Amino acid sequence: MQFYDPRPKDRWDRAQIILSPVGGLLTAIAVASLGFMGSRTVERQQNAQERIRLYSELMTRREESEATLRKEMFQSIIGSFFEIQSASLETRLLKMELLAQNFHEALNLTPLFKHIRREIGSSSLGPREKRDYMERLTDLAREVTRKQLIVLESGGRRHDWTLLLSDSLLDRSSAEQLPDAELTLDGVKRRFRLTLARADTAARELRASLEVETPEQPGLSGDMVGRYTAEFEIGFYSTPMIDNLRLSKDQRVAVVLTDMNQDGASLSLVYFPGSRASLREKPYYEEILQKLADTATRKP
Amino acid sequence: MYAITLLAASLIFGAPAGSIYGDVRMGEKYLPELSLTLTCGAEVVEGKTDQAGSFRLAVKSGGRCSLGITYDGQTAALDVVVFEKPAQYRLVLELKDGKYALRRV
Repeated sequence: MQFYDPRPKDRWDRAQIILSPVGGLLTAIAVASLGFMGSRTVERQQNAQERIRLYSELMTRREESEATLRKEMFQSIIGSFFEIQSASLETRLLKMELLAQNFHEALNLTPLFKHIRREIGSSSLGPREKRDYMERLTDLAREVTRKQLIVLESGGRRHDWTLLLSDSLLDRSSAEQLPDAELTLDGVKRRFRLTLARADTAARELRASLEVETPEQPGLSGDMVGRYTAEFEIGFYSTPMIDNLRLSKDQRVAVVLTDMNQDGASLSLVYFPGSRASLREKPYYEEILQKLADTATRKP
Repeated sequence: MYAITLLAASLIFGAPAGSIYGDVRMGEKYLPELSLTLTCGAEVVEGKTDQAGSFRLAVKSGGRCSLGITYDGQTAALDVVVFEKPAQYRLVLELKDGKYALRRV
């Protein structure tokens, strides 16, 4: 049953009559738009995920093929070093160059460098040829160190020293302490003190001790604070990615000899994150867990 | 001009024994047009930093040398070693007790 309202209709009543169907239409449009936008967002996310998946797949395949190639190359070169029928020094040096240029980030080449040096020294070659081969070997080692320094410095900090060789250092009667280097990496400040105990200008090697002090500072737990010293030999055959000291917070420090003559030496200290170290080096499990915890608590 | 001079010197006197290169800064600011003097025994080589504060100096003698700079009317010097191969020297000029000091970093 319908009731007739005898009152005259005001503007609100008229508006209600007109807007009632329009409201339904607007609701329908809003629902449709929402659905459309939602599906577009989902589609975009799916496209992005697909692109990431494709990229990672391509990267994995490239890595796999490169790894296979490198493996075969490595086996071929390293195998030839241990063959009984010895190749000429020229060939062995060429293989050494191939090995060093291609695998210096993954392999400790110091024993091979020293082995080739001994071979050159004990060969029946004339003094001039021996000197040429020695120079070639040293240049190769220095080239590897130079490349590694560039990579490590780009992600870390570097400090250079000039060491003036004194008679007392050469005859081992006293040690030479170089000015301290204070460097900060990823918010961790450390002090490095390098002391040279011995210098051999013929072999171009130095006996050094490096003191690393980590002072108390915000963000560092008590067990990471402290001071310790390490002693080691520095020569052209030591490469910073391999021959380095492991520090707390997954950091590393290495000292390299960049040049040396009878008057002095040029030394570089490079302080870098563990992620830049050699491929064969792995972070400790507690360091991985610490990094994961740090990432989880870090605000975006 | 420097390259031509170096080439001419090389042709006349033989190839240089070594060289040093690098830059000089004070704090974070690199110092352009800074006068540099590299003294190796009796040999003295003079040069200037470029607009980016970089320099390169070549000498015939090499070995233990002294690198001096003149800044703000003062002279600061640093012992360096010139090797057969070019060596990089990144230098920082510091003011300590009213005197300038040159430091390798």
